[in-house]
Amino acid sequence: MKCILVVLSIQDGKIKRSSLEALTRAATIGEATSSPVHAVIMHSSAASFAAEAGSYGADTVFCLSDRIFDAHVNTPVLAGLTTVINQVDPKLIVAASTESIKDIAGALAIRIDAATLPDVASFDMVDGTVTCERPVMAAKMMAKTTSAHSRVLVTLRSGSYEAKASSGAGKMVEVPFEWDTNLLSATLKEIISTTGNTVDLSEAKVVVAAGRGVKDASGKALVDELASITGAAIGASRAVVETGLFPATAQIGQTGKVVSPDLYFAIGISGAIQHVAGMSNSRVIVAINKDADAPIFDVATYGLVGDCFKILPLLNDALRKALA
Amino acid sequence: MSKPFFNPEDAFQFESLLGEEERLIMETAREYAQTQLEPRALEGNQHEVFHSDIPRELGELGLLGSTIPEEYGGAGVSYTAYGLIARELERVDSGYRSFASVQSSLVMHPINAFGTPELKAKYLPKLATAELIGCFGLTEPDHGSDPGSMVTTAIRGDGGWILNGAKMWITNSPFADVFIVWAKAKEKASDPGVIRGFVLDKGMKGLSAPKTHNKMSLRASITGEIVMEDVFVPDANMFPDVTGLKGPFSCLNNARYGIVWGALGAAEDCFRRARQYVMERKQFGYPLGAMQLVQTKLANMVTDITQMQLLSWRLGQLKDTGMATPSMISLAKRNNCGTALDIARIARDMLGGNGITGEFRVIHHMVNLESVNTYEGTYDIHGLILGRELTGIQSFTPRGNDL
Amino acid sequence: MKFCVCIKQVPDVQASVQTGRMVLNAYDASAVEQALVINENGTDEIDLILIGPASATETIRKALAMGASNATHIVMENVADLDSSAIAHLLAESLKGSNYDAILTGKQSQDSDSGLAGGMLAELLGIPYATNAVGMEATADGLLVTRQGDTGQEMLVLKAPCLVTCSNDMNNPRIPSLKGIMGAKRTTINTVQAGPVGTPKTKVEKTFPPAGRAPGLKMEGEPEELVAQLITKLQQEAGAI
Repeated sequence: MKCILVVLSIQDGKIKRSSLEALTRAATIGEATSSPVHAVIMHSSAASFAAEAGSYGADTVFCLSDRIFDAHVNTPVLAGLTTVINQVDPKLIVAASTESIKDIAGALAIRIDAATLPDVASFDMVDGTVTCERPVMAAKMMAKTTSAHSRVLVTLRSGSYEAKASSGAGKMVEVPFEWDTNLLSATLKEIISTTGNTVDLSEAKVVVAAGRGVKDASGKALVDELASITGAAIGASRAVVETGLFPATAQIGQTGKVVSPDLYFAIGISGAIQHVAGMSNSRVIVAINKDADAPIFDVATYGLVGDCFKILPLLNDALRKALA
Repeated sequence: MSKPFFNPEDAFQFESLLGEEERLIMETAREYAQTQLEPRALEGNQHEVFHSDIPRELGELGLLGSTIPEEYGGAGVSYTAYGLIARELERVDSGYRSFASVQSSLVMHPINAFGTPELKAKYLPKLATAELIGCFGLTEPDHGSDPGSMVTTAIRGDGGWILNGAKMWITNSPFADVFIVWAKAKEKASDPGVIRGFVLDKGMKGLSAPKTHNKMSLRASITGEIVMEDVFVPDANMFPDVTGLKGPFSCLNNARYGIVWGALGAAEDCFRRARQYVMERKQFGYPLGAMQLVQTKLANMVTDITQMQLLSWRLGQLKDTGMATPSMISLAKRNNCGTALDIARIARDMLGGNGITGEFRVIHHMVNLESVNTYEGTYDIHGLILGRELTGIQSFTPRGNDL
Repeated sequence: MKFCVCIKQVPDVQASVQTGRMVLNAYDASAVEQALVINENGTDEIDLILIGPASATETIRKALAMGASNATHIVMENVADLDSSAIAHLLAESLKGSNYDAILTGKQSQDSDSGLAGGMLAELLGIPYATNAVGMEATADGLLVTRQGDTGQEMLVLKAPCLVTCSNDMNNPRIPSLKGIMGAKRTTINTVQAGPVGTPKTKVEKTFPPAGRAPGLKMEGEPEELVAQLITKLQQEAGAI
């Protein structure tokens, strides 16, 4: 059988959780179809992540080490991936659906002649046909999409599968990679970090997300406090990103980030379908909203009907005690 | 082809019958109204505020005097498109549609139809951009449904006319720059006089426009009087060729046509809000929408609205082909205003206590529609216009025992 | 700058009810808007290109009414059956040999939410590109693009000719005026029949409403009680803290 290749993304000195979820899922499919599962890591110190990749089911971990990968520019990443793909000739290529992967998916698909199933919520491979389910129409519908093409690229939404380490230990292969900076057709001028988050939203175990009900800076302070007590990353609905109260990097939803924490606090969020599409994979959802009919209560594990300005100070105190 | 579907907001899909540019114009009006007007409407209606940026915004998009030819600052669109604009404005608040109706149908239309080339060039482009705001004076304190008995006079003077009298219930008058005033023109004071139209400018000596206070309806638009004490109006500011009631009635016909569409928009918004409310609000463990009484109310509303939509659409076609008669417009104005008012009252009822507050907007539509059902020919007067059409016998003047 | 904006007609997914209405893809509208903003004080024209059924002229007219000058309509009745790759190939065929400084399009279309066609088109044309742009300005020989990345915003310098896919966070597309709409009516649209497209590499088998989460427990009462109940539930039932 042809192999499955998983593209692993590195962020803040570790493999992204969503990448490990993709690897775990690929390993499951690899086992069922007797396909070898390989991983590729492109980073200035790629080799240092190989062991962890192996423990999540990669038979071989291809490492491309170059500082250029740490800058967020698409041309070298495309070149690196193409090199590895030409070398291992995978049937299926899997990556976590991050902004960096979305940036290269289309161009890569053309370069390696792959069919693409982007941003899927689940996928499988049976008899050489890849099937997936993916949200479409602003998350109002799911589409079951298939491809029987000889090569298929799948990008996976975070939280769709659980990342599980196994006992395996992969073999590491260093792939030589030379990059001539003069070849860059687009150059990075600077990175403006707008998150202000100490915790990465799409990787976080706890997320505190704010909506219209948070209103102003005093509401934001209560949200920040809750996040600091619970070690949470801070998210936001489109409404409060538009008003400028929260940065665009914090936006959760169909057009923003997809998050899947253990615990999700929805503070003053009404729960429009576009927002729910970005957080419904969370394990436990706590919603606080003064409108008892808000649609967020249809998805919340625990819904508190009330004013977040009254509830949050009490909740912050109680959590501080409970977590002490 | 997609499978057949039922759109509760356009059950018989009349919007698919519109022309390409009419739908684009509808989209422009809808997007502006929903994103720019709706956020201001609660404050506007509740606190009697007409936000002063609104006329200029409407003008920039070409929503004022849209049927006027491009050479005079209009966009030369069809009457169907004009109606669609009225529908979108009144979906937010009748006050905004009233402002636009007056500027378009009662001020720009008569200047375009009856004015000299000089009057058109002087006023129309600036009215289209809302650099100038207009108002229209026909109704008087003692002469509403019977404007032929008006007492405002224009007596022949040197190089012009001397106007005296008062007009009442005048949308826009307190902040208007241009006043279209209908008066009994007399060569000398003892003449019986003939009704003629005059264009007055703000600042003319003897002209004032006090605001009407304590309105309980159309609070998002400004209403006032026009008071004229020996106002001198030069000959150049008179419509030269139109005399009698057919001048003002031509204006009213156009405005009433806009109201046909506007009332539809208000009714549609009441229905949409009521439908949303009864699906979200739970009582006795179930959404209100699960109750039979509520379901039949919704069914009646969607049936009425579908009829209003098709009536408006067909009337637009007739008007665009020059085949609409005043009686057709009376029929549609009477039907759509009366039905919209009924729908608004029922929607208000369906919203229960919440329907009493302005936040839910339905009560604003309800009280607005009391005016819309009354102005530009009351429900009953339009019934009498149709009655005369059907029998050939006018019954405006009660005949009683003398028949 | 000489811009070509690739636009698409999509179902109105924002509407709360099924309307059957087809509209300009919102992300593409942001691309049109940004081209208009950049060319505001210049004389360069903005061209449009759309693949879609004959009835999609309405969407072209909308973008013309916003201020674009010329349009090419590649007529294809069953455009919904095409995948991103087929669309990118059709666009590349049409744009090959053109001399635009920049090709813009939306970061994804609101119906399929794929976000692939832009990168594919850039690869087929062999030009540099950036995706998910939230800001864009012209430079002497190209574009300075700010894109939303995973951890922050990245500012990229692109040399012309280049391609950029635009986010709706970039701007608020203007509402076309009635004069714009009436003027757009008079613009001649260059209509061409779509060439042959290969078998699509992917196929939508069916669409269905997403399975919702099972609703949980909704609690009402005094804030003190609510917080106490929640802490107990999180500790003892959910094991979340």
